[in-house]
Amino acid sequence: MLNQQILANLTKIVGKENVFTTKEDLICYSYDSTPIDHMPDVVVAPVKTEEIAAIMKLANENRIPVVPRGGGTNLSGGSVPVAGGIVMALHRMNKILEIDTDNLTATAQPGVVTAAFHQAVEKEGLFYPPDPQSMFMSTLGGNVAENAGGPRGVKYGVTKDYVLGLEVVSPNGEVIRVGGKTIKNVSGYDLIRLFAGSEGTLGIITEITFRLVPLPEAKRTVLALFDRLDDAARTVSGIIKQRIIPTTLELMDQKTMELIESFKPVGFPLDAEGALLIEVDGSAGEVDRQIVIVEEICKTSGAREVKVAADAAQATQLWTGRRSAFGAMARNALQVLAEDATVPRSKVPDIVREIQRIAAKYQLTIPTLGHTGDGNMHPNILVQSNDEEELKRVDAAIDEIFRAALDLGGTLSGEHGVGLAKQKYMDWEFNSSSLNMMRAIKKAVDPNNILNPGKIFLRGE
Amino acid sequence: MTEPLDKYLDETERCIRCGLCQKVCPIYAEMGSEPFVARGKVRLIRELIKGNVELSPRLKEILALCLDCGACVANCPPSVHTDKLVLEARAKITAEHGLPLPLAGALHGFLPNNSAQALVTKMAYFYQHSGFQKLLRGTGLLKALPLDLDKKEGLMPEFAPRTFRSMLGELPLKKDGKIRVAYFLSCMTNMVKPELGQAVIKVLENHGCEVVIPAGVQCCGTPHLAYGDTKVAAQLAENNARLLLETGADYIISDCATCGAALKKYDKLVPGLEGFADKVRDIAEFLVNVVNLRAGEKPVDGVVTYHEPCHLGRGQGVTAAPREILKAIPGLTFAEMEDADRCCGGAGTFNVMHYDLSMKILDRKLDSIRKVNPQMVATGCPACTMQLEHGLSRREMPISVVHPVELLARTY
Ligand SMILES: Cc1cc2nc3c(=O)[nH]c(=O)nc-3n(C[C@H](O)[C@H](O)[C@H](O)COP(=O)(O)OP(=O)(O)OC[C@H]3O[C@@H](n4cnc5c(N)ncnc54)[C@H](O)[C@@H]3O)c2cc1C
Ligand code: SF4
Ligand code: SF4
Repeated sequence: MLNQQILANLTKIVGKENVFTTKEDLICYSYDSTPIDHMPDVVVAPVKTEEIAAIMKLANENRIPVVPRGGGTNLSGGSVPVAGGIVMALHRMNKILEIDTDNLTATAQPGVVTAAFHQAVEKEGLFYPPDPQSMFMSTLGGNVAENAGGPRGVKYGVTKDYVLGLEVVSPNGEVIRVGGKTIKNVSGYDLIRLFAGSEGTLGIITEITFRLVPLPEAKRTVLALFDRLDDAARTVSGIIKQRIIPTTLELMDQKTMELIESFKPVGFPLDAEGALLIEVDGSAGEVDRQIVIVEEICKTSGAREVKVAADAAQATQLWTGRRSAFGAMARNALQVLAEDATVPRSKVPDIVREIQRIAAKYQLTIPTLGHTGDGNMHPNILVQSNDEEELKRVDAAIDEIFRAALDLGGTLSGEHGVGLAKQKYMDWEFNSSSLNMMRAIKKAVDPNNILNPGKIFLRGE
Repeated sequence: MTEPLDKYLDETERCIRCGLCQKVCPIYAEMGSEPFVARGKVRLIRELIKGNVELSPRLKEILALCLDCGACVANCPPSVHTDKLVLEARAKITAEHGLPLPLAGALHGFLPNNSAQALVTKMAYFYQHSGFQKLLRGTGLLKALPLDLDKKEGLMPEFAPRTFRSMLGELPLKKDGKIRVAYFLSCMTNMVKPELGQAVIKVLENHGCEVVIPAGVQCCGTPHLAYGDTKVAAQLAENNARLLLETGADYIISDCATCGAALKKYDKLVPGLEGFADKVRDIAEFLVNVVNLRAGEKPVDGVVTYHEPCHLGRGQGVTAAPREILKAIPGLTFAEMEDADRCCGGAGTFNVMHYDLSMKILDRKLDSIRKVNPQMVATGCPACTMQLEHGLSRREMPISVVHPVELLARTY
């Protein structure tokens, strides 16, 4: 527990109604979307940068851990306060401050929900491409902190590719501003890149300026069905090789489609080993040209059927099916471990084969889908019981999947972050010099290790 | 471990914490903080069952802020029944701590008591039509009363001069028909909208039904369940079911989404009522799916949109039928609004107990309505009707609220 003096000071900063200490409130901020939990000592809900700066000063002077939290939907244990202390809930900082239609930028507070931001900029004919499938719950701050991606990553990249400027409160309570509205900016170190994906360990992001692009005029969706999963995977690299970059290039295996159909049927076949859901966007003429080429490549790569969605409603239906994949899996398991090992695009067929092999070896159901256009796989391990023997097999399978991804020149995490969940693999991916540099940066920025301690490479620290 | 709530531990543990409920929970949309979304409530109820938290004032406060709208359940991958969990937890609160006092009076004395309803209706009518109401509003006397009655008083429906029940003896009900239906008289039709009762009878008779109305039915029991008073709810259910079954009707019809949803669950509340629920139909469901919907020829002009009551759409799975009725009416243009199935924030007495929050939820509904720019909003739930009427007049939007069946009745 924190002493009364500190609670009184927190109350002075944010007001009584924004400091929560009841056990009920603490429980609600003890978890995220992983099975991990730990109780904080207090939850505070600030509404402006100055309050956050004051809280950080107080916390730093008293060596109290602080964990920033957005929607609490991360899949790596990132917002769980493993060392207790303060959870800083950012839901009150939910204003879109400006949409600048001259410079095609928008500035927002970190607590804005991603989908609300999409809607607001699209009203102005602008487009913010990053589309984590959690966009209706996740916040912009959480997206930057996890460097979230989504299906549109193939063509448009991920969150960090859109951040032009940041306001960040440092662990000792100073307000840092980097970047701005300019597209080009090479003054000083690129701290934006450093903060993007920092998982709440380097600073509290309090304001974000995003680069936007014009909303594409048209888009069309294709569903290609394959009798052999391997053919579907090879088609991914085939399309990229033809210098076509679709907006999305999603692979689903048979088990995934089977589960979707038993949950929210949209007409996926049950007997195809694999399917690709492909969307292209751009000007109307360009879209029509690309869709023909995509159709052609799929056919010559062994697709048994290629369906072009006739209209927006049909396309929406297919995407609704894809979006319900996670739900469909969740209904069929006690726990779904959604991994996000990522490989270079040319290695997609190899990692798909590896995942199948590992699933068979450990007798696990691992429906696999992925934003395969960027090599980002989502093998979803369905855990059926709390049985120790099963959990051992699950652990071993996850180890082997990561090992396989790294051997193929890939990475542990394409978008979910390391948090607590993937810590033990960090020294598989990085040598000690690389990890030491990360430690040095953390030490320089947060000498007392109060900001989200114990995460990423800071196992037990 | 014999507590009734304990058997729901497994249900709470099915939550995988994905957070998808954040997208749809209307309370969370306003509060933004974790305790108020389904994920938080489920977790707290789990800890309550496990004995890690108590029935503290904070827990009660959190559990009070749930509309029982079911949006979370419909959007939840493993379909965790948060609405049910909250009601069960409230039942535990009521069992151990009793009802809040003013509510106890209403739930025990007023709602189950038909003669009390008649009396209150008369009083309310007098109050609203005698000028006394204006006086109260004008002097600011209401402000002095607890629960900021000055604002909420606008929520009070325009009561009818006479209850529908008191007119039953004089109604010329047809004595023959292909199908015999028992019409369940809801509190709201009885006290506030007798004209809806008349429309229901007219429409049913136009579809060749013989309508019987057991006068002795009481409140459906939903308010009692909402505040955790399972015992009285079960007594009401038993009595109502007996009276409805005694009519020998083929179907039991409700014009109130909430009552219909409650009737369909009577078999879970009272042992020995197996098969009862199979006879219950919402009026729209009955017209479209059982007897072939047939509209008359008189046109009804204007644009209508539809607000889907939680207890009809998600609660009973009736979504297409009311819209089909509206589309079948000659002259009428039906326009779907955005988020038609989002809760209006009425939720029984929620709007009275949590007025400001309820109005914020309602404002989003009114914004959706405004975009469609209709002359009428149709909805199949009297509680939603009251809430919408209150909001529309608060924002001075000249739009009327009707039951789809009332519009249908105008075509004959
Ligand atoms: C069903 C489901 C689908 C998902 N799909 C995707 C997907 O397609 N792509 C993807 O990338 N992710 C996905 N995720 C993961 C998750 O939604 C993302 O990681 C998201 O960015 C988290 O945002 P949040 O607001 O919930 O952050 P939180 O979970 O609250 O926090 C995440 C991390 O960011 C830190 N943080 C939060 N706000 C701030 C801030 N203002 N300043 C500094 N640090 C901060 C926290 O300390 C924590 O370490 C999915 C999750 C679920 C449950
Ligand atoms: S949607 Fe369901 S499973 Fe997901 S967090 Fe909410 S209650 Fe839990
Ligand atoms: S029933 Fe409605 S108000 Fe209650 S938790 Fe679910 S979505 Fe929220």
